[in-house]
Amino acid sequence: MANLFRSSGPHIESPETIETNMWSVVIALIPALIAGVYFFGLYALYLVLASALSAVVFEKPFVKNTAALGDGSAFLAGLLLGLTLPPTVPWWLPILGGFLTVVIGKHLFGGLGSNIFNPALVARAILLLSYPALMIEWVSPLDGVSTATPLQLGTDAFSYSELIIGNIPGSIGETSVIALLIGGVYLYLRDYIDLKIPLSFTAGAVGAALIFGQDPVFTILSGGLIFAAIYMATDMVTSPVAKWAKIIYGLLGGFLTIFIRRYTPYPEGVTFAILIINGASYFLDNAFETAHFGEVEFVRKKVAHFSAVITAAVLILLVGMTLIDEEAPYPGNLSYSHLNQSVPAADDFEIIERDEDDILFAARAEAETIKDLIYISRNGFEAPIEVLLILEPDGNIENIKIINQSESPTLGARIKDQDFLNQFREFTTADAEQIMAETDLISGATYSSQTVVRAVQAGLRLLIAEQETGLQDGVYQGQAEGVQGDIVLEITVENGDIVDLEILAEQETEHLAQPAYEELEEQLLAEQSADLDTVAGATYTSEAFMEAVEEAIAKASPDSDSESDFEIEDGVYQGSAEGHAGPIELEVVVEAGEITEIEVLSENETPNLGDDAVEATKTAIIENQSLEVDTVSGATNSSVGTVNAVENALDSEAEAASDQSQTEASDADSAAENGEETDTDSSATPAEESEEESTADSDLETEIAEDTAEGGSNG
Amino acid sequence: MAIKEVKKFPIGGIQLPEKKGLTSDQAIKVMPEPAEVAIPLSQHIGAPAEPIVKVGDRVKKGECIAELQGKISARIHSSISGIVEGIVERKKPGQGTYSCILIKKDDLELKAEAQKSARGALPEIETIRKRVKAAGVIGMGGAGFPTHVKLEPPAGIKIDTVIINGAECEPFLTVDHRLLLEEYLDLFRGLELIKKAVGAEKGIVAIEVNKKDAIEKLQQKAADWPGIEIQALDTRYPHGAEKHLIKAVLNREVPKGELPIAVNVVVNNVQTAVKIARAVDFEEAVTDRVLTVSGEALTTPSNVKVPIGTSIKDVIKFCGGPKDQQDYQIIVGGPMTGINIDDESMPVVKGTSGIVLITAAEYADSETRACIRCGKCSEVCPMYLASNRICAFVNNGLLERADDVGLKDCIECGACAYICPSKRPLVRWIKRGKAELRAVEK
Repeated sequence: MANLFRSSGPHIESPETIETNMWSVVIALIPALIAGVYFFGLYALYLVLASALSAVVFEKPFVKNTAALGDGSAFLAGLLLGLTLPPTVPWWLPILGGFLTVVIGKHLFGGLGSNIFNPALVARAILLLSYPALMIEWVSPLDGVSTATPLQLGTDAFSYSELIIGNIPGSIGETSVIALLIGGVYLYLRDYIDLKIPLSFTAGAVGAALIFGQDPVFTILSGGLIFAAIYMATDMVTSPVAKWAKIIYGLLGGFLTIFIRRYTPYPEGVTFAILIINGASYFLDNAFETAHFGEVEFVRKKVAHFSAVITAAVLILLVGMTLIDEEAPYPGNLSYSHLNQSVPAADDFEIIERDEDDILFAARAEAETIKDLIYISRNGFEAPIEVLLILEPDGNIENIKIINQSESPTLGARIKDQDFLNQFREFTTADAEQIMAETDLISGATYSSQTVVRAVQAGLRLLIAEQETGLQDGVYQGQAEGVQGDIVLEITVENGDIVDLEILAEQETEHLAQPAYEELEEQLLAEQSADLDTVAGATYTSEAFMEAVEEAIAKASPDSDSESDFEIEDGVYQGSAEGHAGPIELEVVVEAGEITEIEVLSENETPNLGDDAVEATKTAIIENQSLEVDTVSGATNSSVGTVNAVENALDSEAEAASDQSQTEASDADSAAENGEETDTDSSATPAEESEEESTADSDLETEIAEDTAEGGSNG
Repeated sequence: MAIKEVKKFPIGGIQLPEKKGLTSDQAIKVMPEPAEVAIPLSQHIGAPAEPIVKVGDRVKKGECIAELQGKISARIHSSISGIVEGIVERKKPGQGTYSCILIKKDDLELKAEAQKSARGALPEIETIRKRVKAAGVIGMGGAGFPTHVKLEPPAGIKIDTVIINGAECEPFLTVDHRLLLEEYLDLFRGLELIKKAVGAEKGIVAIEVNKKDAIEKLQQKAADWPGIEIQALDTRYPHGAEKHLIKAVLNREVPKGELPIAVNVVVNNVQTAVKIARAVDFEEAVTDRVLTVSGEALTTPSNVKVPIGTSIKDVIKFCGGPKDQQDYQIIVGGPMTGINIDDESMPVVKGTSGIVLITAAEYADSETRACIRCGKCSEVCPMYLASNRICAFVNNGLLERADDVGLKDCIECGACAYICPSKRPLVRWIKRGKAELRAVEK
């Protein structure tokens, strides 16, 4: 049948052949090769030629072509791979690369024209995954000093002109944008390249950069994007043929490149992006087949088809991006419906605090917090026991639910009995520490019921911790070293929230840093934390900013704030506490609300060790205006004793103050005032005293105070 | 006069090496009548004509020797004065044979009577159609559609424009070029007659800019012919394809599977218009045609007026024969869409636009290599098809898939196969696919 039409036309043919196509691309790559050799030295030339020639040699067994360099396709693929290698890889790597290119990437797929994936990129991907350390080792041009690429360093590291000329660290042939463009212009003038893919690829990258808030110019000029757009994505065999398929292919490739750069550990992105779109080529040719001449209806149908596919793709991407940006919303078996059923009146459940899987939610109705919800998960026998606490705003447990448990059905499962659970009602945050003692465990299910109690306790502690870590109102400064000098900033805290940020001084590159500041400020006000996302293109500046904010936040935190520790009237106070060898007695002078002097009245600590520790500790307390000072190693007891003595002295002040306000003091209070029983007690457990005084409630408080005191001396 | 506006079709097409210089300056020569002619009964689309002469009959030049059959058919006339020898089979370009009436030349030089009326007002529509039908005029560009059918558009269809196809985009061919220069009066008259017959207001002669002298001359002469415009076209293959000519000149796209009348246009070849003028005004039958005999392997490339039925061998001989020591291939038609023949006894028919002797070096017979998906075939396709995909389906027997991606839409212009760097015979595969699909659909 084939021969029947042997006599029909056309009887003339163009001079174009596979060879002219392949070798003209090789010619177009010569400027990039020259630039690479100039910047990275003769070894780079070896690497590129080794890759190209080994590809030719490895192809020999597969082809009939007798020309020394074959039809040019293997040489070109090897050349492309060589140009994407870092200039420092060992001598054998390009040869392995040549093998991977033609044997794995090309001939295992059926040879020229049959391979689905760009052979050079197949090889590069295998090398990248097999020898990650070798494939991401970069050196500065000309001097060969180890460094990172512009993508890793961020936008500030290199100027646009450096990126265009290419005297930057990177792959041998990818850095010089100008050399790559010269080759591109040559191909265009010789009509060997269709601009649809390079342009749409670049457009896709720019679009993605804008979506992700990156500098689009930097995006184009770095990470081998131009190399990929002109020479890799346009590989004839693996790219689509139809007009719109080419455009979609390019857009998708550019977008994926930036997407991969942003969301994966592979900063260059193009390798995987192009391999992915290679796989889509055939589909794209099918889906976006050009409407034929005279097919008006067909065109309409295709346009509808096209818009549907694009809409679907955009939707999928948007959904994907939300999934990537936010972790799975809730841990374990917790779901929104649990929250909603627990507090039906609430319209919003904001995560206030999260400690691993334990979460504190604020249930809000019209922006007003009406309930706190605490989700706690603790390991039971088989699987975690998941508990949800519903608390009134004042900290009372209103209800408790077991969301999930897999305890033994006859025994452990009794933790779900209302009789057991009801015990927890009306406990408050204040009861957190004696909850274990106050709860009747289920006999025969001791471990399971204990786990529930522990979970409730942990939940209450989480709420307590949250309440304590609110920031103190005020204005706080922080500073840190940026790229070109210190960044000094100021945060304003109102009602425990950071409400404003002001940069007081900085010397960063204005056009890069200013947008970064704005973005970081926005993040800060939303997150209320110094743990922010760095702004791409201004990585160092972002980090410095965060450091400065951290410092300012640290000052605003109650723990380190002197004012919160010593709200003391001026005066001289005495206190004592047990040291290593007997009591340490001292006198604390408070002036203008600050500790100005501590005089040790008597101590019996080990000479040259304990007594030095006492001195060092008291100096530290004065300097920091805080009791949270480091202990002196080797003399912990002396250090702690000193701290406790100071605390005791200050407590005696607080005592006096509270006594003054309590006109109708109880008997216990009177006793304390007289200093009869309590003096000795307080020297041993000073905090206990203070708690007892300020709360003046039942004996429960004693235990809390004990716990607090332990905590204090541990700190 | 300067060429004002140059139009072209929007997508695809290629620039070909023209090689028209071999014959473009050669005035049309008239070939003497050969010793015998074999006139095929089926030179046109439609039913073959029915012979009305017997063996031994003496026929005059221009005498009807076969009558048309059915609606779509065309009459056949003797192209020489001579004696009917009988019915013979002659090979057809490609496959199959022609049934031919073989006529031996006598020396009587008898001619059918021609009317000597001077050209005056345009005759009635019915007269025009009748005389065109009687003269056996068919599409002389190669398609061979009976012209009298074309001059009677179906009821309800309004034709507003008649285009004369003077694009002549095939390399080597210069027939239309010469006719434009030498027989423009017949051309203009023919165009006016077609316009009247189909009821069109507008007549356009479309010519590629590589025939600059023809465009300039016709622009000048057309000043006396209100209602006739000359349109310059860019030099781009295949402007001569009917649908692309309409797209370029009027920017109207003939819908898939339809004829030009769907966009209110009738297209006729230059030589057809000339033949119409002579048929209507002088009742002269189609007994000869002008064709280009050319090629690097030919001694004297020429434009020749040849009696229908003359063997290709005689024509080549008239043009000096092949150059010595030269391997060559004979192409009937142009090198892009023509047919390579190996039997020189084939007759020249009404649709034969050229005979090209291509040197072996020029002839395309490179080894077929793997498709590298460069997409050049899609880039040049004037029908916006991807012939590499069509062929992939055809070659794997997936005819329906091939049809989905436009197998039947292909106009077989050959641009894709010409440009293919892997030298894949895409058009031959597509032709085979079409034949297989037709067989399946039957």
